[in-house]
Amino acid sequence: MEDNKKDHWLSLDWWTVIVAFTLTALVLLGLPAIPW
Amino acid sequence: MKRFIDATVRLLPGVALVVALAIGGKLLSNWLQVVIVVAWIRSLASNVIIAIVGGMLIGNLVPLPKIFAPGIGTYEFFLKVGIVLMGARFLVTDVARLGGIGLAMVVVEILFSIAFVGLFARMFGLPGKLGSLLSVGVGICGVSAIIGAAPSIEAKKEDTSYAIAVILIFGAAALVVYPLIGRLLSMSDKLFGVWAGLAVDNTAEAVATGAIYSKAALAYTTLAKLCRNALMGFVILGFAIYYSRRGMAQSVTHKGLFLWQKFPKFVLGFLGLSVLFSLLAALFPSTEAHKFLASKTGALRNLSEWAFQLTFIGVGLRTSFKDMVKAGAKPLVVGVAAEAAVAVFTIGMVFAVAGFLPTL
Repeated sequence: MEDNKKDHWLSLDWWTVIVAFTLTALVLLGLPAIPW
Repeated sequence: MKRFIDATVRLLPGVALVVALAIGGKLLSNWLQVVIVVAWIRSLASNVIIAIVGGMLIGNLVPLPKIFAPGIGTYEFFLKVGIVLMGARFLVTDVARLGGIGLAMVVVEILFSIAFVGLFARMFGLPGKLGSLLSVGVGICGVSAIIGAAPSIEAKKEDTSYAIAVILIFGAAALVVYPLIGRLLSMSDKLFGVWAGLAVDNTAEAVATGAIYSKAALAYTTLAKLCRNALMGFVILGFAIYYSRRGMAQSVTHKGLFLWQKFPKFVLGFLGLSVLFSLLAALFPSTEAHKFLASKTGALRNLSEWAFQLTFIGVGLRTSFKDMVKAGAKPLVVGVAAEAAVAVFTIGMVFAVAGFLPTL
């Protein structure tokens, strides 16, 4: 069964994973910590 | 490329507003933590409470131009980025230990919610599909589960909006009521965290409720909530099959594909980072390597905190008191009964299994 509105293959969830992994890679490569 | 630029232009004003308020809220709470001397008042000026209440006040009292709306709606994106980044902090063995018992508790919680809400919806004469949407929302993960289930069971648009209104009203109430109950019962961070993850429906509000209680509670809330989110596809599939057998919705042709489509992929991202950092810690056991990794997980924790800060501002801005009043008394009655029953049931369950819950 299909949803009424067909999702794009790269959903919002996948984008969150891509962004989080990119940030992780940058941190591991030496991106300085943003103060909290 | 044009689509990308259009989307950026559309989202930019709202995102800029959320970022500005997030930084302002954080600075304000840092200042208040120094100047307020009475401990209990200081705890009310915590960063999470200021972000949410500040967002609510601005969203409801200041007539914001429509240009901000699309960007404000992006808080779900930040929420999920924050959760994925949290994965780096958890050893995968801890995730498996708490996840195992968490999943078992979630299955019981979902079955109770579906049975109770279904019964209650029938007693109140609510349409069957509205009852199912409410069950999905209360049982699993609020708004995204309702949005995921609505097309699969071919629910009416007004039933979908109604079910979402119920979830949002009680998400807002949970932010206040749950931490108060937790303090009254002197619940530990672990018990409160698991309870909030099991009982607060919408992921953003669940994370915020855990964070209001304590940072330690937030870790437990996130894991318990992810267990619920992970089971979303199975429950929606169950309802889709139920309605298609009664000729009230199309049949599901490929169940495996259906489950994969409904599976929240950010949970995989969370698990992926947990596995990665656990592996790195195991492969490089020296003290120096562990110090290096600790500094990196610290940096990721800060990023995750900022992502949650943006989420809390977005949740506050999105909570519309006018919409709550417009939704009427019926969602309130159905919601009070459903949420109260689930809250009591899950708190009982959490206390009952307290001895088996692993400490993170």
